[in-house]
Amino acid sequence: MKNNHLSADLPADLRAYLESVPPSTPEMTDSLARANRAAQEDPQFDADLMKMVFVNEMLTALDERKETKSTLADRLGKTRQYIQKLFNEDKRVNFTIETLCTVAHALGRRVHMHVYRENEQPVIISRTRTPVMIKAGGWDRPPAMVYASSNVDRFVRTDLPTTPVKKEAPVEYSIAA
Amino acid sequence: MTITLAEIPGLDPTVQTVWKVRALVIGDRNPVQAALERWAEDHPNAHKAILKVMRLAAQQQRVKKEEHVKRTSKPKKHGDVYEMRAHTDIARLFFFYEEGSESLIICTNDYDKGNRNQDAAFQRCGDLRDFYRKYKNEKQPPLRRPAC
Repeated sequence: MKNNHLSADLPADLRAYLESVPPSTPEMTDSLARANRAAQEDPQFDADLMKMVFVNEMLTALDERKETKSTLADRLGKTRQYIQKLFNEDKRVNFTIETLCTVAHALGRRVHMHVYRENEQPVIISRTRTPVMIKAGGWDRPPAMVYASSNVDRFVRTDLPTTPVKKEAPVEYSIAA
Repeated sequence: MTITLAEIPGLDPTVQTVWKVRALVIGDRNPVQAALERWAEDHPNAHKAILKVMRLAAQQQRVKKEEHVKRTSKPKKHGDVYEMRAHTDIARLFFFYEEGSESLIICTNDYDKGNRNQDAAFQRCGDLRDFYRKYKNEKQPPLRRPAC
């Protein structure tokens, strides 16, 4: 049986703090799970989170490239204030897909979007910390891209054909005289 | 007394791609779960904001913006501890990164902005981390290189 009592070897201040916390029960855990899931079901939650992730990735890219927001603004032909607002997730800046792609490309990054059904989950193959490009065999196959960065798990495209695709001869149509 | 790491209820494991988020549970006390419940009930916006930061931290190597995650300003005193922040809202959640067989974010304690004891909350996080590591080392002594 688990011993759930706070033991005497806890420092006094930690013990006092933990005693001020109500003991957790399975009912409380269930209720919190429901509240957490409900909060994450909101489309605005997803949108805000995607912006946060994008901005964090771009700040990482800026650091890696030892660039500043001013130099990025110059290269994009925008004002520094605009870039600042964008990076502050300011509601006055339109976070369009064009904006995301433009900024990402300017910082040597690419944006990948994956839409999946409610009951699906993206398949995470493995984790890497170095960029990887796997070249698929076959004379007519495009290389299988492995999306990788310093802190993103690898997503492997699974929609590529598993066997080389043969080029078909173009179909010629003729009109009978 | 048992010390365990609990999953955050309702936080999908598949979105925790870089770090797995866990709550430190000592005995039957789970301060993180209690705080999340309180915020969900009394401050829904703060609750949502903290969940967003939690998800961000779980899928990024490090969070760059201090309005989301801030490292203690006194690392010599508190150690390498951080707080998740609901930006302008009241919720703050303290944690530390733990790299071992798994990469973990271990959340330890909470704090409501405006209580004027933020330094003490960072200190508590550092103390809880030390207590956790001491317990972990006692349970599972670090591997030693065999003598030749």
